[in-house]
Amino acid sequence: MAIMTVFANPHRFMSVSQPFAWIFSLAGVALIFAGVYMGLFLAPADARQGDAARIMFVHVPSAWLSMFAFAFMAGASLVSLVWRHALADVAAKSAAPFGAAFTALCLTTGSIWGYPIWGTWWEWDGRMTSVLILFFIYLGYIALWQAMDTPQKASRAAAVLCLVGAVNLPIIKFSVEWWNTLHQTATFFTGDNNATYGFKAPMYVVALGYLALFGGLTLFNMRAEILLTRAEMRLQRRLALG
Amino acid sequence: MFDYDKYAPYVFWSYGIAAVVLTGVVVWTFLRVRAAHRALKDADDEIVGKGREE
Repeated sequence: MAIMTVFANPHRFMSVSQPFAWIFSLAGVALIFAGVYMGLFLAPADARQGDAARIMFVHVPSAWLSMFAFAFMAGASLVSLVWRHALADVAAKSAAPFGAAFTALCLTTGSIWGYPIWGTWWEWDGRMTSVLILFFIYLGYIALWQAMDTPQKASRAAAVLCLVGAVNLPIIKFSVEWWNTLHQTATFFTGDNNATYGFKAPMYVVALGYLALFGGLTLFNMRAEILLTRAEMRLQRRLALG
Repeated sequence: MFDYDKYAPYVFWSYGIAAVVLTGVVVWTFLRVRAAHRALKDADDEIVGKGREE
């Protein structure tokens, strides 16, 4: 709560956030390059999937990030609704375009991987359908911010949509266990040693890179949002004073 | 190097799309930050300009 209160002030946020935004963004780009190099040149081909498994190094981390970004937005929306934190709305709104981009990347790369391995670009199974729904929720969330008359109404409606949409996260996670799907069950973080270090390392490096880039770009986008709000407020004040 | 057999087009398309999407979000973000700075400056200029007119 103490940290939340410290960063509740947009002025304080603007004064401290820029270095972090640069550090996270640059670290993200560097980690992604390193992970892609490891994935394309150092990782071995999979015994069953051959070199098609290299697609996993960009697909799986984007799937993780698409869910993480929405969980982050849901947390920020909860804080916004309960504590009226000044920056919570800005954080959720700023993260949404990146979450949508990573979800689109997950769906596209998954489809490209599916064709040579499964023999189909798309299957309406639990995992793929629930991730597609997540993508539409992202689009709906972004559209809702534009559709309302005032930012206050938009903020409240978007926060409620985000919290309702968060129900989809456990559905995505457990879809491969609840239903008999074409999509495989979890390989990572299961306790089973399903992947070798040579396969795990690029995956985790790219995932860290995506995470850092998401953090950095969200901070930059929050700064842009605050600057645009300030510009709008100054113009409105000027109009009110005549 | 890049000898991915029959899977090569799928691998390259995936990494290519990832590169386009990631470059796109980075460029979009920096354009948005620049537009926000410009909007704030325009608002300030308008206030200063109107103040002088008065």
